[in-house]
Amino acid sequence: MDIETYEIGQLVRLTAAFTNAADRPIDPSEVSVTVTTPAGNATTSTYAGGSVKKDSVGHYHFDQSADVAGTWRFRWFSTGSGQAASHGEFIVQPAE
Amino acid sequence: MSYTPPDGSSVVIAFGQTPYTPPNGGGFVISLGGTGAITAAITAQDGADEITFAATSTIHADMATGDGADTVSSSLDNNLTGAIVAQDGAELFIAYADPAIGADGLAIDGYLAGGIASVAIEALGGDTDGEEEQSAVVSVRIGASVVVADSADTFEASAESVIVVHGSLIESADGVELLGGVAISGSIEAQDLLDQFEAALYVVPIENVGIQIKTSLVTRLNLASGVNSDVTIGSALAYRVSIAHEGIPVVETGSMLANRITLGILPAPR
Repeated sequence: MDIETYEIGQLVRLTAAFTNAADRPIDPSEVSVTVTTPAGNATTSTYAGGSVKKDSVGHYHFDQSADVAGTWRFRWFSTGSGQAASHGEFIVQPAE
Repeated sequence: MSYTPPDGSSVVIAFGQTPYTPPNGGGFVISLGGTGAITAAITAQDGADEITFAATSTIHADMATGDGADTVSSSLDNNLTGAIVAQDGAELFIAYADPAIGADGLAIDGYLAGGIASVAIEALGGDTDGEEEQSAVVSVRIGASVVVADSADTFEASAESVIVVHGSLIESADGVELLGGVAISGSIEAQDLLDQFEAALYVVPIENVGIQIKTSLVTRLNLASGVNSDVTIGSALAYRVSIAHEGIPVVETGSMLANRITLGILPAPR
């Protein structure tokens, strides 16, 4: 996955599509995403908590305000039935 | 009858006193020598540097280290029917058995838990004295689960003979390394890897010794078999699986499932 670049102030949508070994969409028991700011502060949001939204079976998104310049990291993970994990990062450029 | 040595004692040898409470501060080594049985709990309090079980002994209760204990080791022909709990501050737990000195094995019938920097379990076997061939089957057997808590950096288990964990191995450490004949009848779960993307779990058997994973295994898994050793996977559920072997087939007796997440990122709709 290529590293996307955004301008500070943008709202970044992180999406995750969960599939099983047969490549079919599945809804895991619990879906979470941890976003780590360039300063290293990590916040975990969950579907159960309402901050992670479900678009369709297996498809979820989380909107993150890009309010700090630097490299952000994120990690989607699911537990229980459909356990999986994956991570990525994006870059926020400072305002010119 | 209870026995509490005074604070500041540097060496304590105790048998037959129950319950036994090592002193605060002074016990630089708590050594249980000789042959005997302890039926009460042993709790090493703050400041103990080391707890060593150095001879044949049977402990029918829990053993817990206090804060600040650097090392807990259990060697030779010990049998612990309770749990071993290494508490915060302990840096290392070592359990090993050595046939060269006549030991048959180490058995921990309870669970092993550590909130510690590292955990090492080692079983030595074969010709270890260079003169006389040793044929004893030496094992480290853990009857319940091994739980390595958050502060542990690594978990290592190595064996020239056999380490058997009859429960689960649950760890939230940076890495897990299993070397040699390690059989786990429960599951292996690596938890809380939120910021540890490079954490991995390695199962590397050595010559003539196999690996068995009978149930589930979670997190990234690297399997590498040695010469004349099998890798048997009953049912592995893993995020990322890679297997390397040297001419020995990997036997999959069950399904190997790998759930996946396809990531996406884009500006949010306005």
